[in-house]
Amino acid sequence: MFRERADVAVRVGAASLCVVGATLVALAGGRYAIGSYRADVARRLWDERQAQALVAQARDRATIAASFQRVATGAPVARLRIPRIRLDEIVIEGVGDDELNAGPGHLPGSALPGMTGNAVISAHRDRHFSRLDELQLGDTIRTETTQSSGAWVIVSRRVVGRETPALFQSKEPLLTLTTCWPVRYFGSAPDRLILSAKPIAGTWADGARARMRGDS
Amino acid sequence: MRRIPVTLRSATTAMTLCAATLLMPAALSAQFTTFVAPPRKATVDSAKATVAVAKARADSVARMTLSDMKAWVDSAAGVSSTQVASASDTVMTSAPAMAPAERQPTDRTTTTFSNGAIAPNTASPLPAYLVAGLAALIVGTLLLRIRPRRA
Repeated sequence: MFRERADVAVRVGAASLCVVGATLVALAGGRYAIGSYRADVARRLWDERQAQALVAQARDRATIAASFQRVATGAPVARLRIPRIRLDEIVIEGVGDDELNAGPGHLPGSALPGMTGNAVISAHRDRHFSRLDELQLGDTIRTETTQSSGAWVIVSRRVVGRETPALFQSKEPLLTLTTCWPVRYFGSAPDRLILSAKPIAGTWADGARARMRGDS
Repeated sequence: MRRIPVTLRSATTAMTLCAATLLMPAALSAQFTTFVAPPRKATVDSAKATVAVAKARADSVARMTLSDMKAWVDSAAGVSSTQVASASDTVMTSAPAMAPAERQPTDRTTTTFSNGAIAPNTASPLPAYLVAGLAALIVGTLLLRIRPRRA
């Protein structure tokens, strides 16, 4: 009698574990699937936007003022490529959960890559920036926006506390990549990894250089 | 040259006028601008002074010496400074009870850029969920596969 009850209890517990486990796996897998889907959507939108920008430039109707309009949260704003870690992602406006689930997020209010000011891009340490810690000083980064494209060189690498002010305005074009530190999949993230990069002269078009100088 | 006769009466009158000229302003609290009487020198009671100094030291919150005025101006203007304060910048001596409370770390998140903003929170619980779920599934499946023992 006691053994039968114990067996029943074990089976009920095992079934509960299976249910809880399946729920957690479904939750995490679902989020990953949604993020992957949104990344695909962002890439498609980015391709369309690039095509439209090319057509507009060809028709000589692209104006700087029109291209600098405020970007909606969740919209693709740039393409980020880091050859050393084989990263090629579409950067999405915003750093909320949904945006970071889909791809690296551009911090609203910061400059766009290639513009005068500090362009801040953040991503999850377990997703798109999982290998960001492999980057060293001197490594190159490429960015593309609808207005400009060019290369950057990493000039600063530091780890700061999560409450430490780390993002500052810049009078010169600057690219800042951030993710949680230490770069591991589990546990708390008490610190932040901050990489700063400066544009490499000669890799930017004349118009982009003018925007970097703030001529527009 | 004509001689002026000096009598005792005229001399007394002249001296009285001189004395009045010198003493009247003090009596009238310096109504005359030509002469301002100096304030009376306060008498120092050494015992009271010692007590007052001790009391002032006990009441004072802090004694601060600012040597880096740039940092002070930046902090007054609400601008974050990237420089880390060194021991030589600001020296504060204060009573332990009056020391400012340490800032507790708050769970702040950055959603928009501002000068001196903290980096956005990019930690995700999804990997932990995934591993915990897989572990629960494996353990649950193993337990279910154990056949109940017959008595």
